[in-house]
Amino acid sequence: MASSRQLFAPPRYLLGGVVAIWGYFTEHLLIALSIAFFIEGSLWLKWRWDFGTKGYRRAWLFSVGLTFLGLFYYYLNAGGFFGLLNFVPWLPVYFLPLILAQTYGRDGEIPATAFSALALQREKKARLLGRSFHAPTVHFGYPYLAICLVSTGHRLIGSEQQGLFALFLFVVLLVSFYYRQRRMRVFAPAFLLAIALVSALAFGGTIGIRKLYYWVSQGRFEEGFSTLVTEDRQTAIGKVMEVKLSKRVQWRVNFSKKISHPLLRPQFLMTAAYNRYDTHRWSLENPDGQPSGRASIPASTSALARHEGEFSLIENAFHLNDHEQPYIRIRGAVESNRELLPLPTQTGLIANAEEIDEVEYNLLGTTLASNASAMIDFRAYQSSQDNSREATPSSILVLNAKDVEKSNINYIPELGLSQALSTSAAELNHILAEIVDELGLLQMKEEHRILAIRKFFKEFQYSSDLTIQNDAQRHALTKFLVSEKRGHCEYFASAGALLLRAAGIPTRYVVGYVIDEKNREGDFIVRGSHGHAWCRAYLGGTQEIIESTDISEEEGEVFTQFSKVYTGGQWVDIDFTPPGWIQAETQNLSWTDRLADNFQLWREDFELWRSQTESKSTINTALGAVGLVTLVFIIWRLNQSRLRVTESPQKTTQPFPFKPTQLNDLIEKLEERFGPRPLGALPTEWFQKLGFIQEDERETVRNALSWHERIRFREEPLSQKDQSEFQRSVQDLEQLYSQRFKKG
Amino acid sequence: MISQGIRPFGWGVAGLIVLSAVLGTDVVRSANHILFCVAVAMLLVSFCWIWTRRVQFSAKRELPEFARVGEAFRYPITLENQGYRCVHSALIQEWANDPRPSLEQFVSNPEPGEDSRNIVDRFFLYYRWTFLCDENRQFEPFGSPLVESLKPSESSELWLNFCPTKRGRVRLMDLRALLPDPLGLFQRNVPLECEAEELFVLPRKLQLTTFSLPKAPTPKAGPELSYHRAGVSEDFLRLRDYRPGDAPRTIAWKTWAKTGTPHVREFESEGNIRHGLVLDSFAESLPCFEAAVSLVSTLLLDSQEDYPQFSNFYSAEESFVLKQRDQLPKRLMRLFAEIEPVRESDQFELLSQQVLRKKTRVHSLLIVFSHWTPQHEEFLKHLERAEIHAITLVVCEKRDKAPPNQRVHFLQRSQLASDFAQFAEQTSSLI
Repeated sequence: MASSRQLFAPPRYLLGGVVAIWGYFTEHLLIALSIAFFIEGSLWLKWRWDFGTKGYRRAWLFSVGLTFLGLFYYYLNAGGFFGLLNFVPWLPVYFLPLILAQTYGRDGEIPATAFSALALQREKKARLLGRSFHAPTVHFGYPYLAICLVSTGHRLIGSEQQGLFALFLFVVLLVSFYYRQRRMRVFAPAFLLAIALVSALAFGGTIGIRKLYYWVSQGRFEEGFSTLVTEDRQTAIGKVMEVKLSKRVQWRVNFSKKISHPLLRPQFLMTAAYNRYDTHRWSLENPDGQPSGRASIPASTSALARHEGEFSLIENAFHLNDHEQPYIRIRGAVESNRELLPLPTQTGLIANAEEIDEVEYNLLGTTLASNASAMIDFRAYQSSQDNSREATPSSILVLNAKDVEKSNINYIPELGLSQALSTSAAELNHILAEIVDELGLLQMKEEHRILAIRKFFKEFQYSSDLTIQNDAQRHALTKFLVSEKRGHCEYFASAGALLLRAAGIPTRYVVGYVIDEKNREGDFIVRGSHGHAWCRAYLGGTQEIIESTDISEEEGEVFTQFSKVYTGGQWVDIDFTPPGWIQAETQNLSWTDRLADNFQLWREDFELWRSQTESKSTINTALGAVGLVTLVFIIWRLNQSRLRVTESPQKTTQPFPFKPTQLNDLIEKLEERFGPRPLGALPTEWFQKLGFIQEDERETVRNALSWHERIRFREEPLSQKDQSEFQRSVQDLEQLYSQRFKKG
Repeated sequence: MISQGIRPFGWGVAGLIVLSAVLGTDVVRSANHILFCVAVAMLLVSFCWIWTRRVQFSAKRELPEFARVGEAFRYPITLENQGYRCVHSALIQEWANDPRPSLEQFVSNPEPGEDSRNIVDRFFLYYRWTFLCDENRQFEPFGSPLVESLKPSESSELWLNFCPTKRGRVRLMDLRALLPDPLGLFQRNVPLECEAEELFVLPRKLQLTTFSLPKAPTPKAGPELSYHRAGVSEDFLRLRDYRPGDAPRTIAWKTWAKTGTPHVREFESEGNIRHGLVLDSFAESLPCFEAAVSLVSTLLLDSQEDYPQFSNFYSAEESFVLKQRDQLPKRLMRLFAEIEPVRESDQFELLSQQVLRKKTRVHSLLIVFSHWTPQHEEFLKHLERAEIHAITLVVCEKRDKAPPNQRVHFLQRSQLASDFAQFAEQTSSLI
């Protein structure tokens, strides 16, 4: 029968192996190997420490403290719930003190009272009252293993990495349970069948969960749409819900003096733009690509960099910050590795952005900051040039001679209506055409079309409480336009964009923020609740069809490239959402919101200070000194209390501290000769009865029994003298009984 | 209960499911959903597996008659597979009684030191609940022997570890086979066909220092004086086997005739100094009473050579004449196992009667109280009036009162051994 410790302890080298694999996946191999070395080093190092409950409790508190420090660090760095989760991959490090305390502790297990102040108090009280208290013990081996597995799997992207992880998991599972199976003497075929069933179920379950995830998030069972916010945006159109945006401050904006006047400064900060509308979803379609099918535009065009922190989004923009040009300063926390930058639409240069490694953008003006620090602080310089980073509405078709005539060469993504091939989408497009006809938009100038549509939306109401439900027969946007006439900004922006397109104006759907609120310090505060969607229309442009001189030939057919391009116009922000929506969203800021604002701004300022080079050295020195002192103190304390063991301690299953003595050995011998001692019979009584001990011989029995009783509950070993005396008394007793036995 | 069907590893896997579910919601960026699926699959397979496990064992225990609180021992059980299938990996365990207190017990038995707890604890009384659960738990099953494999109609002998945690008569009536699944996450517990058996659990043994009782003052002459006869008087002590050299007048002829082997009678001189031990069961605090019983039983059951020999034991229920240091009547041992505290003080009359009826047999008394009230004081005065020399030990929660005289000693329950050592030192100085 295996002891409880053996049952609950992982097999040798498993923990070390798992930690090493954790290091491989999380790219902290050196740290992982060090940890594995310390954990498995107990097999060779014969030093142990008698930590006691107090010592284990300290190790636990140290681990908890490290975890909270990690949480705090990631809170400062990234903020938000998902930012906090960045602490997960470091869990094996946080819980290292606890596993080391167990590994090098003399007990080999941790008393459960070490984990709870209440249990500890209960134990103290019980001891104070003289009551017995048996604290259950916990072996931290498998929990630590589970922590390592969770940490390993936390940030594994891609099917290759996840497949490797699954394989690793299977090996760990097999080794762990094979070890337990041997200890528990489980019937081997049953064990193998169980493992096979688990593997099959887990495999099926993983596939099922993935499909479920895609179905819930994308409405289909297969991985299709990218989840990158730059390429797709699922709107709340057609959902019955209340739109609740975060009141937390996202960005802080300051304008240089030259553009501080309300009429001069931009009203919007754009984060992403989209040009294709499917059912409730806005996505990207490459203006330079094929109109059929869906071609995404990754934000992969890297901005040019002249100096550190300078990124030019258009040609020849580095001069923009040479003199005192107007700029907008933007500060805020970055929550992910690739963060969408909120920028005014005419931004040509990003400067003073030392915290950003790389800037990418796509043809619709969506700009991403890659590998940025937790906090970024940069200046956006506006350009008056026409060669903006936003591509003009265009399409390119490669056609052969036969298809030229029958092809829809007029297709422009920015003029496309609802793309889904359903009855409801067709109805929506029909309704749009009806409204355009009703308003007579096609006969108006561009400016008047916009005014007419704005007038059309005047009878609509803003509401964040969405009640329009999409159904197969009728599109939610149709209901919005025809009957409901109330919704939030996504309704207005989507409907407005489609109406403008139906009216012949190339339009994109844009999301970002509105700059509206100013705090006491004079900074403009951009909250989550300032998040907005609006239209970006291309006005004043003229279209032309260009037939390329490049002719390609494939399988005997000649292909020619045709381009339809708008030129000469400019992109203009048009917001159809009724004015006053922002007051509805941002009113009723409670005192806790204000307090959170102040704390967040303080944290961001501190983080910005921390990211400065001169501050970094000060902080690193201070932290290093504290860490070193702590480490030295711990090593000094451990060095003082170390014990040397000859072999790894094995805890017995005996929960009570009595140990067999030499008299027990004698009892066994006597039982062989005189028959077994009756169960429950006290040794004293039994010895007296054996062989009719005489009065003068009782002294020998009493002497041996007296020593036996004294030693049984004694923790310290006997002195040499006492030991020999006890041995002599037992020998006397043995001699007495052997004489009696001989006499018969 | 559900918790009894889940093994520690099962709880661990359940925790892993929660953790991986929280952290693995994004299947694109995290692989923890795989961990989640593996953990759920393990739970599912294990849970379904245990329903396929069957066992049909009959068992027979061979229990000792007595055991002691806190002292582990082993006893054999014989298992026989009466089913038609071979059973693999079954753990055998004695199923403990339900330790939850009744409403009456919960209401009337406060936890010692409860008044010193904070207002929240005193309001919710959770600590009282855990205290009474601990008190009611008669034994802790620890370690379950494993039946690796037992074919149909085969039998096997196993040894069960057993450690009583509470004094009393323990009735073992629920022997179970725990049938874990191959992964060890769940277990099915099946009651075995086994006759119920009883075991008397004696009080916990205390580690006491040796001590001596002071000699009683010389009795005055009077009508109650026991030494009123001339000559040497002897009391019958016991019967023993005849040994060559024994005086023929000591031979017990009737016993010889009955048993067929020669026996002799042994006598004890009345002039030997004899001490009596009194246990009072009038108690208010249950732990104090338990400590008092432990103290008395340790003095009698584990008497060392240096201890005074007690020739009589008195309790309100019964009194015993103790013939030999190492051979206590089984009835007395059962009394130690089963004696219960009483709340009525009228049992002092019974106790007085028991003591006074046989007072001529003892020279002094060691009285152990678990409570101190005016009635106790009155009882002592009553003994004093009857010219019985008594030394009294009062086991109490706190030694906050001064003893009324030198012959009364308060022993704090939480430090009983050290207080007893102090008492032993004081009495030795009197000698």
